[in-house]
Amino acid sequence: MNLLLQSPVLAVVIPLLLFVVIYMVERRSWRLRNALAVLAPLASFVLLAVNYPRVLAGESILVEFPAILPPLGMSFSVDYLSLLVGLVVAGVWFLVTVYSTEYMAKEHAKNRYYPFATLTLAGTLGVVLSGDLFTLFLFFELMSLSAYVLVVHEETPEAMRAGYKYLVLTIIGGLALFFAIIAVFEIAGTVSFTAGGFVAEASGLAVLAFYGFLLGFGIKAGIVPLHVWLPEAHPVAPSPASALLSGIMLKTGVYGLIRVVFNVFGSEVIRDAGLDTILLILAAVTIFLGSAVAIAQDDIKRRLAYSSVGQMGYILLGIGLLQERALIGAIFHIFAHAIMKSTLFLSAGAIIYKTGKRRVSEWRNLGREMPLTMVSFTVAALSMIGIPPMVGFVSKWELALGSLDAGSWGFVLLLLLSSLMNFIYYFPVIQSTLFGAQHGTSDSPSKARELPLAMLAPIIVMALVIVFVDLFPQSGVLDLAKRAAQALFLVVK
Amino acid sequence: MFSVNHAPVLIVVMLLAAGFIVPLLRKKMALGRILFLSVGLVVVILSLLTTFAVLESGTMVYAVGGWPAPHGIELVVDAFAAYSSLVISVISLIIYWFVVFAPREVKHEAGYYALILLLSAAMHGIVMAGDIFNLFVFVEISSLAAVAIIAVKGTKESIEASFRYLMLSALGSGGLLFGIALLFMITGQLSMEYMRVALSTTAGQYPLNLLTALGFMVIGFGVKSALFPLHIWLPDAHANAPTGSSALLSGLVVKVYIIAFMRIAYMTLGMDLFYILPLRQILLVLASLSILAGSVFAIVQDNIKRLLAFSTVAQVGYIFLGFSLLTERAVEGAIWHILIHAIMKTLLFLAVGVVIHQSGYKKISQIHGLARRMPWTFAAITLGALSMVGIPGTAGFISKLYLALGALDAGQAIFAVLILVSSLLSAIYYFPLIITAYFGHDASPDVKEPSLVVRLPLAVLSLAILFYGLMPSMLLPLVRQTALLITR
Repeated sequence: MNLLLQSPVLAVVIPLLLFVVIYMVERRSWRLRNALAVLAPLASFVLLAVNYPRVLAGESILVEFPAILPPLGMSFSVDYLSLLVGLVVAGVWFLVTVYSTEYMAKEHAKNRYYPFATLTLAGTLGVVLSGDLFTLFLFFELMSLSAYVLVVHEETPEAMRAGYKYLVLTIIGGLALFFAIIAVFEIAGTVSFTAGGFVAEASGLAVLAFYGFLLGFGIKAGIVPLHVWLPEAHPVAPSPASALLSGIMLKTGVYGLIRVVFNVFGSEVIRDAGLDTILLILAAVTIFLGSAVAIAQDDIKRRLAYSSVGQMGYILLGIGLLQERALIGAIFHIFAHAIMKSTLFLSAGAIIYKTGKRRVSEWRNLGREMPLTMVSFTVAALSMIGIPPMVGFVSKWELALGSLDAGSWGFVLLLLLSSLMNFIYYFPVIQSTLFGAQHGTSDSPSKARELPLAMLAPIIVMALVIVFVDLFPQSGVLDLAKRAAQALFLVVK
Repeated sequence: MFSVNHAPVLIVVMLLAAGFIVPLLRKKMALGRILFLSVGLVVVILSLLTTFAVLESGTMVYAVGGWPAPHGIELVVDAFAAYSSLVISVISLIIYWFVVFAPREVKHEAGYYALILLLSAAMHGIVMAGDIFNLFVFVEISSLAAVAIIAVKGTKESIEASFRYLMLSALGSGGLLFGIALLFMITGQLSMEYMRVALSTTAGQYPLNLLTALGFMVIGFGVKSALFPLHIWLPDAHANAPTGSSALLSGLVVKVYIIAFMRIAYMTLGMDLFYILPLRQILLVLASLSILAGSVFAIVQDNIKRLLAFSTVAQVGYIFLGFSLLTERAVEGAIWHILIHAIMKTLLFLAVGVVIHQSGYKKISQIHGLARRMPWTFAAITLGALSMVGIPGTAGFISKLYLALGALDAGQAIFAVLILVSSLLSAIYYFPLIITAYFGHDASPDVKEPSLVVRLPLAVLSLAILFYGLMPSMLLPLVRQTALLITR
């Protein structure tokens, strides 16, 4: 067995096995538990990274297991898109887990947190690396259900309520996906992702299946009006879990939509049936409402959660325009938002960890006490607003150009409006924390100090990525996004 | 000397004989238990042999005592019979093990084993009988034994429940007998094979008689397999029975009557009748109502065993739905579900029985944080519940997949949606059970896990759920052959 050939499978299977291993060793040694939890995403990252040269050389990697679950079978594949998203997932997951070893030290039930975080990783990577709809669905459910344990970690009544809402909507989404997948199987007799799609025409059942996909992935991605669980579930989770939920797991929803639009239906069928209009309307509503409601939130984690809703709208916009440039923006934004939102959640979590203050209005003058954390927060927030040269600017730029290519001026205005709203809700935070000393409370002695290294390092690393990825094009992220978008528009009939 | 041809009849005879011998060993109960378990094991081996023989060389016909039909008694072991018999024998063996080693809930141990053995013999008899009258006799034995294994618990509720079950079941038997009599009147035959031949020429002359006969059979088997609205006896009966009996009744007995109905339908009448008469429509509607009503009632239950019982009503609906959709994949789904529901529901009833015995708590609202005290048992319950909801990777997903695909094949997407709605409902009633058990205040520090021998059946069933969830290919040929028998 060639290890390299199996590496995408191993990238999923290793976290899955480590889930069991962690569960067995955690009572004996918490050090080993933490080490294994950190090792899992690192191993997956490496196992994916070794595929980079082959993928870049244009090889498509496909590993099939037809014997599992007939008549559908299982398969794993790596192409540009799944490599990019998979590396983002594993990389961010690694940093967040490093952070959580320190952050969670004070928390209860760590023996539950780490195994389930690892299991969720296996599910998330499975979604990204699956070669067909059915495998994707299998891991999608694994991810969603094990993430429930992370959502309700605090076990407070609010957490249980939010968790229940999350769970019910997850099940509804899962069933919608299930229906859509079997409908597609009924129509086409296959569920394997194909360049240019395999659904030949938008028959009634096909359109119904599309709505099923939209419902299933839309709930996960937090598309308005299916987002209702998100602003409740993301804030109640412990901060590292919030970072994973908002930064990573939301992306599986849009990732699924990209696959459905381009590799199941194909952009032609979607456009002929007018389904792109629905995507665009949803995107516009999501961008506008997500950003607008975020302004009204005082709880920092709720503000960040609503901001995520708005940002998912960007990606949906990039998909719905059915236009290569816009799709580049969408794919790049998967990467950009994962990094930005994780940085924001981790640094906000760090502040809550140190000061216990969840409300933005209480965050005065923290920049003096925790300069590095606050600078990272600021960098990520500026990037969210779309200031060059941060990564957030790049995705907005591509999206705006894509909208122009598609001849839709309105969306450019919407993007600008959303940037303005981002500014409105991020800037006061930056201002009061970095320059809030004048407002009088500075004399009160504060106990907040800079963070321990295990928490600080991941935040700084991600902040550096935000600033420098775009300055060094040879890092290849944008290139990968471009190739991914090109490959998705490639039609082989 | 031993030929595999004798295996089917040996299964029935051994179980019957053991049913009479075990009570004689009441003074030497250790010996009785060994006999009980070893008969169960031998039956599993025999049904395995039968299954391989059927897969290899097609339907086996065994003339009991060497007297061929139409006058002698025949066992007709086709793929469906072999499959059913295999499911019954394996699941029963697991339940036997549990009943022997779990803490005793029944006073008369030997008598209880005897009843269980008789019930098993009757179930094997039902699925293998070649003539309709023997089928009826076995149905009667199993009905009475089923009533008795509820009543043996001896509590007021269980006796009341078993009495109600007895009344309704007797009504069902009456309907069944009347249906059989009408068929006999039309054809002059009792052997199902000869009946089919006779019916192929005479059916046209007696459409009304046939319709009436079928109507009575639907009612008869509908009562016994708890098809809505004839399910009213089931929740009380299954919830108040001893743990092992609940598992047997919910896991196997209700399904055996569905199998019997299907066998009569395809062996004597042919499935065309489903289309000529409005039978298919009627069954589809009743099955859908079963699914919805069972799920909705289950949601409002606080008593865990009643919840499981109502869930059985819904799951029986799935099986009827699959059979009456009559596309190949839907029928395959129904056949899968016979096995898979048997695994899941047996697991759930056994595990919940363990929980009730160890903690004394019978209600969802009481089990806060109990999973921390009984991690293994609750892991099994969680797996069973996930499988009931149909989460991919568990066995429950397989049958749902086939059923939903079958519904689409039939061009009836509405039934695929129904299956999804029902999955959502089952999530709504199963998840609170799990969530309550894992989270919340730990109110019961002195509750412990049962011994390893009691946990063994739970472990075996849990592994089966995972195994069939991912690798169902092992049984696929058998399921496919059975589906072909019905849909050809």
